[in-house]
This record gives sequence, C-alpha cells and structure tokens, in this order.
Amino acid sequence: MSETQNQKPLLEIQNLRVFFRVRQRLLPAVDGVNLTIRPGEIVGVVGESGSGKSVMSQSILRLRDYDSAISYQGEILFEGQDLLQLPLSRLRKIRGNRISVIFQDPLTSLSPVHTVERQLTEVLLLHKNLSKAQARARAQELLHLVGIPSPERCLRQYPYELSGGMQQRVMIAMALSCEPSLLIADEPTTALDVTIQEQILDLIAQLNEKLGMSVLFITHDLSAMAQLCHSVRVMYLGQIVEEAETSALFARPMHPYTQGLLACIPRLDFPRGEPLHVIEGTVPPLSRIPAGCHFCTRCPHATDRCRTQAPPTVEAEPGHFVQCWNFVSPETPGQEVEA
Amino acid sequence: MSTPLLEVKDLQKRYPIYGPLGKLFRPKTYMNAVSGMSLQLYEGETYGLVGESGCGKTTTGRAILGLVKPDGGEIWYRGHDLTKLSDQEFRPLRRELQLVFQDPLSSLNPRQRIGALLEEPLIVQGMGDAESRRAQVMDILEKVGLSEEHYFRYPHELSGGQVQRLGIARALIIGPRLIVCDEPVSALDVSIQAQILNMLTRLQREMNLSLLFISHDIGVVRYLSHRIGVMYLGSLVEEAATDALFAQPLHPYTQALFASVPDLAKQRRHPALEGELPVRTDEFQGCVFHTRCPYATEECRRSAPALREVQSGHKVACHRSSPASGD
Repeated sequence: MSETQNQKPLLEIQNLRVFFRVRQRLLPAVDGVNLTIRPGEIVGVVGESGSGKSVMSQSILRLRDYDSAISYQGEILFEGQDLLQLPLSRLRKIRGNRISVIFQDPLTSLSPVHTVERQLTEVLLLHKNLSKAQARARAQELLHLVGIPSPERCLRQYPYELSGGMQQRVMIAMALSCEPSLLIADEPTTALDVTIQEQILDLIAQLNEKLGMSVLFITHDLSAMAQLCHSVRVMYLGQIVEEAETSALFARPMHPYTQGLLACIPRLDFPRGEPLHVIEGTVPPLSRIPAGCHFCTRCPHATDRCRTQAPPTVEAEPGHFVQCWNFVSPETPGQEVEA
Repeated sequence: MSTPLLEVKDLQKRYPIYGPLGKLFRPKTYMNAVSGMSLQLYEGETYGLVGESGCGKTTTGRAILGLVKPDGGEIWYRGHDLTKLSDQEFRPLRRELQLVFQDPLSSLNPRQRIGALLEEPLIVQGMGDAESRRAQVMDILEKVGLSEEHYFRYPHELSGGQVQRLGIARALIIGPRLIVCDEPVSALDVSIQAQILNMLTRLQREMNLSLLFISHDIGVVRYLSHRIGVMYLGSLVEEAATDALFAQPLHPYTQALFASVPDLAKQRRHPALEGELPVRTDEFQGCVFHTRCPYATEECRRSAPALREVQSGHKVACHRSSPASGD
C-alpha cells in the first residue's frame, strides 16, 4: 500500500459531528470523527450497535437530510468539495454516480414492483445519457461482473424471485453501474450465510482490485473485516477509539475496547468450557454519555482521570492511533486484557 | 450410552408449491423442508444444530415443540410420541419443553409488565399461589442477571441483551428439562453475545438442562455444544462429538462450512463453495449436496447416501467415506 500512502485522499472527513435533536437536547451520534480514504483503499469501520458507524456513513451522502432533527458540524471533503455545504441538486449528481451505497438488507432497498432491469437501467439512464438498448446491454454486463449466472433471465425477474445472495449481487451491480470512485458498504453481508458472505466479500475485493474503487466497509463483524480491509477504525459511542492497518490492529490491539471485542468472539481455537471474556455492561444511551473517556463506564482499567478528562488520540506506533489514557504499549505484543 | 431424553426419528415436513393460479389447483410439487431427519438428545447435553438458512434447522426445532405439524416420522420424549399427541395431551409436557427465540421482543406482549409476563407461564400451568409465584419471578430475574427493579417495567424499556435474558427467564421459570434455543444470540452484539453464552452454560449446569442449540454461527455452536449435527437441505449430513468433528470433518459440506468461517488470522482466499442452496422438491435426486460438491460423481447424482457411523459416534452421509478408511 506504500504507493497509495502518498496519493491525495479521495475522501476526507474532518472533525465530523452529527447531532440529533431530541427533546430540546442535542445528542451527538457522531462526535468528532476524522477519517481519510485514499484512492483504491478499503477502509473498515467496526463497532457495535449505537456506535454511530451507520450515521457517520450516511452523513457522507446526507442520506438523512429528510430528518429535520439532524444537524452537522465539520467537513466532509470529497475530491476537494465539502459535501455538507453542497446544494442538494449538486449532491444528487454525486449520489449513485461518484459515490454509491449498498445496505444490509437488499430486499428493502430494492423496489418490489419493478423488475431488476428497470431498476438497474434507471441509474444508467439518469447519470450516463445512454439509450435504452445501451443501458440494457450495460446492465447485463454488470450482472455478469457480479457473478450472476444468467444475467438475461435475472433482468426479467423481480427482486423477490431472487435469493438473498443474488439480491445483494444486484444491489452491488446497481452501485457499480456508474463506476463510482467510492463504494460505501454498510453491513453488506450481515444478513447472509457464511458461504454466501465469503462469495460477496471476495467479489468486493476483486472489484476493488480490478476497478481501483475505494471502499468504506461498515460492519460489526471483526472477522469479516480482517479478511477484506486494508485499514480499520474502531468506533465506540460516536468516536474513533483506535485506527491502524488491519494486521497491526489484530496483532497488537491497544485500546481496551478493541481488546475486549477481540476476546469475546468464540473463535474456533478457543478452549471450550472456559468462560468467554465479556465486556461488562452495555453501550450507554446517547443521552447518558459519560464525561471523560466515553468507554470509562465499561473499561476494566478506568481511573479517575478517565472519568473526568477525555483522552487525546496518540500515535502509539507509526500509523497506529489510539484514544486512551492507559493503552497497552506495543512492547507487549498481542497482550490480552488482564482480568 | 443411556436412553436419550429426546429422539427424533425420520422426521418429514413438506410444504406445497402451487402453480401460477395458487391454491385453485393441486400443488405442482412439494418442497421438502425436512426430510429423513433423525437425532438423539441426552440428559444434560447440548446438541448443536448448524446449517445455513433454509436447511430446516428451525423447522426441526419447532416440530419438537409441536409448533409445526410434521408430515411423517416420530419424536419420542420420555415414552410419548409427541407427533401423535393432541394439543390437550401436549400441554402438561410443555412444562418440560421450552423455546427461546431469536427475537424475543416480538414474542412478548408489549403491554404486559415484565413481572406479569414471567408469571403467565406459571398461571397457565397452575403452579403455586400468587405469593409463591411472585417469589419465583424474583428468583428467576436474579438468575438471568436482571434485577427486582425490572418487575414493573415493560419489555421495550430493556436493551437487546436484557430482552434476551427475559426470553430465557420466561423459558426457565417453569423448570423445563429441555430447551430449544433457536438462534438466541444471532441478533446481539458480540460483547453482549458473550454475556448471554456464559449465562446459558452456567444455567445449564445449575439446572441440569438439555439444550438443542440451533445456530448458523459455527464458533458459537462449537463453544457451547457437546455434540454437533450439520444440516443441509433438510437432513443431517454429519454428526459427531464436537472435538471429533473439528479435528476431522468428513463431509465435503462440513469441510467447506468450516473453511468459510472468517477468522482474524486467515488471509483472504477463494470462496470454499460456489453457488447456492437448491430447492429440494419431490423430483430432487441423489445426495443433497451434489449440486455444489466439488467431488460429486455420477453415483452422487443418482442415489442419496445414508447417514452411516464411520467411527464411534461419528456419522456421515457421503458416498466417499467408507467405514474402513474413515475418509
């Protein structure tokens, strides 16, 4: 990845805050996120429900603008222009064209009353000025690209006639139709079986290699992330608590939250019969975010300083950032959290 | 081994597939959701049932509890064939057979307080008086890690993990012997999942429960189960003690399934399996797995292999595995 390191970033999120107004209070769903995606890079964002990962990814295309309770701060620079300041008419030229999205549940994102052909060609007719016949040919090509065995037949079908894996492939085909420079994949494999999940992850990786498209991959599944992403951000309660290249993060997790997450997965080599490691408690609601470090209510190492002062983000080793007062230093590689 | 607590023998469940005019005409064919499914569950054991969506694992679990009427086969539980019982005859056995759902919130009455929700099964079974029932509810709340202050709350006030604790409490309160857990942790975050799994193992030991644990998550099933059955397209393709199965998976599907499990340590490689699950209609012939199996031969396409014991306690349904070589 050394050659991508020096390239100009494709997307740059700077100090993004997203607030929801609830009963006269502003609740920060995303609380000061910085994130950079370079051309050709696959960036993973991992976090539990309520961590703000989806709100963050939806803010890029302002998919929640219909919600009057939402407000933004900060900048989202895409090829130099701030998407948060862009008028909607110009944002529409980017949506589905330069940046596209695939969601977790393909069936609710596809129209149930239109055929695959109608839905796939819609994007092409809108953004690419193709004739109907050209659009149809291109749609067929795309379905072939995403590994649908008989594209001709698939075009005539309705989404409900397809299996979950095939629906997700159609969604990916639609997202790819205008050759976007950035694909946002929000939990694209969560609803799928493992053998199908593997096929979809493989497809995304191949498309990244072939088309050089950048991917922002949002998931709660650490192991899916390990397979696909070049670098990973761990989110907790609206903040990025750790950032590193994938191999570094899994070899030397430094934030107690990351360490806890990794330890509580029942992996195939985990000794059976021993109790699983747990992170005590649950993610607090946005209305009760603790002062100081957001993780202090569940952290086994929390001190008084953690409860009062927000920790700074430190570069613990080159390219490995962690937001914690007492992170485990890289001299003790792969160390588990002591009980 | 002793006699099993529960024995499922050659279970069948099929659903009709109608033509374009729906139920106006006879069904075109049948989809065999479960076909020739057999398993034994022993006292105090956790039996893990794994498979992908549509393999019939949930239908099997529901048939055991009488929630799905099977089209054939027998389910023996302590001298009763559950498939032959009327609803009335089944009711006393419900006390011993319970179910934990994937999404407990949708199975709980949103307008009932938690105390009332937990008391209801006791009332239905005619157990105890009001005072002793209240004591039992308090007791179970504590056992599953909720507290007395939840007694007057509503289910929607709980978080996802707490709702699953409530679902488990509701299954446990009448002192069952066998619990069918249908994907109880699939909807939960990993940190919460670990809490629930630890609680389940603890309660199983304390209350000597038998669990039929249905899941698609291989890591979870391996962690929890003593024995594992791998289902594909309506029947078992392999069954063995957990360690034996992971040491030496014999069926090509089991091998592919294990290989597909994403692991933090593994690098990306080619998908283990191509294609997707076919539909097992009446016309379906041969081994259930032949459409995706990399080793399929003419024989596999023609005749279905029986589930045979190749090593002690290790059964596999595959033409390739001979009892002698064990491969």
